[in-house]
Amino acid sequence: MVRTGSASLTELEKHTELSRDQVLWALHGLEDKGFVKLHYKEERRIILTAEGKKYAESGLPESRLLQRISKSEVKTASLSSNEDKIGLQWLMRKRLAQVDNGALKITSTGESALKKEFPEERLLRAIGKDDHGKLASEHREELDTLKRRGLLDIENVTEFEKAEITQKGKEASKNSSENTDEIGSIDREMIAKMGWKGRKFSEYDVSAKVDREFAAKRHVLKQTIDRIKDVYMSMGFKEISGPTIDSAFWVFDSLFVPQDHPARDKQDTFFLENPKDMEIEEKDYAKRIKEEHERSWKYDWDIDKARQSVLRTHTTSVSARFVQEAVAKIVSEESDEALPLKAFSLGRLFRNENIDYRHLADFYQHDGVIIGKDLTMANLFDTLIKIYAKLGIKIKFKPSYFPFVEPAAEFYGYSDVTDEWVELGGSGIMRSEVTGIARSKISVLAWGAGVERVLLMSKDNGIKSIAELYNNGIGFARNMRSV
Amino acid sequence: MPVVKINKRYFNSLLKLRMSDEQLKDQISKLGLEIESMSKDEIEIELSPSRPDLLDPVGIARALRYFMHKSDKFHYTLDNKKPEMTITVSSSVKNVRPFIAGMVVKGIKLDETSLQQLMSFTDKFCDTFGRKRKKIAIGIHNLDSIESMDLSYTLAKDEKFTALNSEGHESFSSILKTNKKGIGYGEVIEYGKSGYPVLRDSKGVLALIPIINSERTKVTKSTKNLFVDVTGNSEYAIGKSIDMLAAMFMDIGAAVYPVVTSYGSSRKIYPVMESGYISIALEDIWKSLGVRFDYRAAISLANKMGYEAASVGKRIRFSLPEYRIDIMNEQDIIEDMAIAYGYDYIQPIGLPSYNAGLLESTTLKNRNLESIMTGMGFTQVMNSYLTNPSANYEKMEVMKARDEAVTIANSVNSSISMLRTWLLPSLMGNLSKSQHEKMPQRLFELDMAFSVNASKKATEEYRIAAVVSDPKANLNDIKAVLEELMYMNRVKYTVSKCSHGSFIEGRCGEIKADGKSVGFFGEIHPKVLNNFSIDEPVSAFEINIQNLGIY
Repeated sequence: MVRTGSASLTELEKHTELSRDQVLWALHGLEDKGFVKLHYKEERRIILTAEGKKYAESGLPESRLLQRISKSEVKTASLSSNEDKIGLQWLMRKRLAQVDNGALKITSTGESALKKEFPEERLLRAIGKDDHGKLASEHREELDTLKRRGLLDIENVTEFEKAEITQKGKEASKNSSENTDEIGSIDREMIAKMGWKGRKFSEYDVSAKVDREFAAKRHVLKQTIDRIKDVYMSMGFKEISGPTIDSAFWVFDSLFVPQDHPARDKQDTFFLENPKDMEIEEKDYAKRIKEEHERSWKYDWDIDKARQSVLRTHTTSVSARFVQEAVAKIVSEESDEALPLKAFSLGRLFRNENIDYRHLADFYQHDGVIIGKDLTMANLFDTLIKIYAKLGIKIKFKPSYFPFVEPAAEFYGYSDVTDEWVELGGSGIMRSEVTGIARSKISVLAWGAGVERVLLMSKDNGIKSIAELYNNGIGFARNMRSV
Repeated sequence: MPVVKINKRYFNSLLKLRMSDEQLKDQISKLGLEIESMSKDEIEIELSPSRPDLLDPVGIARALRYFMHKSDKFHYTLDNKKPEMTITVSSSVKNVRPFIAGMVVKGIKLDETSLQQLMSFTDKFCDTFGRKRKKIAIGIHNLDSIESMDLSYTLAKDEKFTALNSEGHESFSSILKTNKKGIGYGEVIEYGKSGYPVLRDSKGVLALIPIINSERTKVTKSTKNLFVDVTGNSEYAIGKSIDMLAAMFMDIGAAVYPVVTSYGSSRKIYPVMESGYISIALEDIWKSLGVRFDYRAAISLANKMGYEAASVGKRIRFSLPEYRIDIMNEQDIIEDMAIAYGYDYIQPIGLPSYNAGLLESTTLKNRNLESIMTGMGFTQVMNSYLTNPSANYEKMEVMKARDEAVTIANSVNSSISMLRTWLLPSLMGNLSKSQHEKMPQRLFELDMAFSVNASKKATEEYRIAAVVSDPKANLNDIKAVLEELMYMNRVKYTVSKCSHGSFIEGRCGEIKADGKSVGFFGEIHPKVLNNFSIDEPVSAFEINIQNLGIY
């Protein structure tokens, strides 16, 4: 640096064989003494959001929609997905298409746009290749539009550019041989031979900025799952689990969901091709369920529909199995556990829904049951209020409907993050048709609720959607804070 | 759940109560319905699927009036019991769509709004409670355009008629292919084989059941009198549905007259307007709710939900409203009592715990494994269980084992067709998303993978897999991690050379414990790295925890 008068960070790293942090640290110290002057530059850094990254790969919704219109007729009524709706909105705004008789027609502007790449798309791709796309101010307008659409963020970053040696620094450098008495880093030999005695330690700049170390950590969602499990345990619940791949019998029939219920629609539930069916081992129980369904819902119950393999659409199937076994034991006085008997499960469930960067087809639910005598809605509310209080969430209840509980209550949690009531789950007293025993003898409280919500609501992690939790680039993990 | 849009002016004319928007919102929510949005002219309400009688503004207004003690007309009966018409059912419909009920509605006053609400209600009702018309379909006709008092419900050959909102004659088979309703509901019945179920008068076809009515009997806002039919495959459901519809028409000031259904030897008269009773011990209500109230209060709560009620001994006798389809037994009524009491007013009561809380051993063991892995600098990821053969096999350069995968029959997403059989593909996906992040990258996942075993049963197992990506990553880095993991868990294992498509030949080891194969480790083949666009070398292991015998 003495020779050239100034040097960049990379040059200094190379010459001193020190790490970036060490060099910066040393430079800050030199600046304090007035030996060097540090130069910074400001630049606009453009970073794509998750949505932006997606469009950089797949193209903007409007450009894809325009392509589709150019190939075949598209009715506006058929545009139901979120992306299609965004596409439609921008096609109209940019006047690339118009609606004619419920169908989309390309305008002349649209025809010419079709021939070349959309300018915003080109820009997105250019940024996509380089996260720190230093795209200059000539694209300011397009960049602003993309920013408003939430596809990118523009940050002003101050970055270290170079260090310049001052006159004082040059002089100090000449005298540096006189300064050797100040100790820089200490080493093994110095410690052993007490070489530091009578000498001065050079001062370091303790306020200099360093990059943080990345802790290896457990996933935030797993940490949340642990928290929930520990809360249940602290309240005397024992953990239970059950199959992820199950028969429709345990997921639906045992919970009094009639076989023609919309929840069993092909659209909502993943039915399996392999294995297609499952045996229902509990023959007597199945017979009772058949009778309950036929008596209450007035249709012919079909065991083949019950044998279909599905990916569970809730973890209440685990509760259903537990209740069936536990009630049988209590009735035959084989149970060695005192009432009320409390159990919980926590596991993944599946919904056959369109996935995108915000929606997933699998996520977690926790499910609880309490089996006892004369259990009331007041007991149910108390239990749920306490569970959520321990998770830092205030809840309230509202009437609702689930086929297997009566009365049924939906519960909502207050989110400090978004300042609103968010639906958390459903609960109620299990119908006797499900438990197989009159409520005057044994009653069962049951509930199920989302797990990811607890994480999203309890602290502002900057996580806006459940899907983000499963977007496991290591960058995501490194930026997560403790829950 | 279905959402219904209600014209506010029309709703207020039914409600006949002065309420602010806030009050209305509050009361509707307490009743168990949710207001999605409310503007100057329109209310959007998310409905409860259990109460078909609350699918339309008339029913909601009725329920709200009870709820606010503004109505004490608890029962609906027909003033005129003399049947106006007869529907003769041919035995030919028996295996297609066996049941039909009808009624005549006179003196109805419709305008644009009420007509539109009526049509949208019947559509909603048939889609939800009627299971997309499979279980129940409703047809509404202009009575004055029907030529005879005797109708027949029968199977017909492929005839032509002018369908509602169409011009000119069209055959049934063509309607099923080209008409919007035909396409939408054509699958409800297997047409063509045995014929088409139709409703006729002396002049011709009134409706192709359960698809579409004739243009001739179209209902407009000037229509004064209606003929209504309900068809379906459950006699119970069609009877209950027509009772519910009758109550609705009575509420908007029309007179309802019965119609006879003649099934050869037996005759039924609809609407039945049957009420019935359920009586419940007051104590049982207390015991479910966890609150106590006296008989008078119980009766008042029952009235709030539209039940006429009386105390009989220690019990409350609830007389069931004719329009309620959903009530099966006392449990449903207890729920109504809870709603009437108000969930907000039920004071929480704590429960004792006599049993110790307990976590499953898998939970405890997995936590332990996770802490060992993070201790060695590995960050945990969690991925979807759902995948496709390309990600699970092809990109990993391994062959699909026959019938090994749990596959999905009906996924709406092209990227989802099976459950993952192992974890490494997920971790490779994570690395491929992390290429711009600082090296080294050490990730692990502990979660489930799925397969179908030799006896064709689905199996689910906990596995643990880890990857190290680093310019200098090699076999020993990952083997050292494996060694520590096994040491901590007291697992003795042996390693033998193995051949695996995902790894470099000669740099892959199979791990065996207690004679069983439990997993493998090695350096990922550059071909696989290319498939995932990963720029730096990766070494990895994957172990089936279930086979380690540590749970």
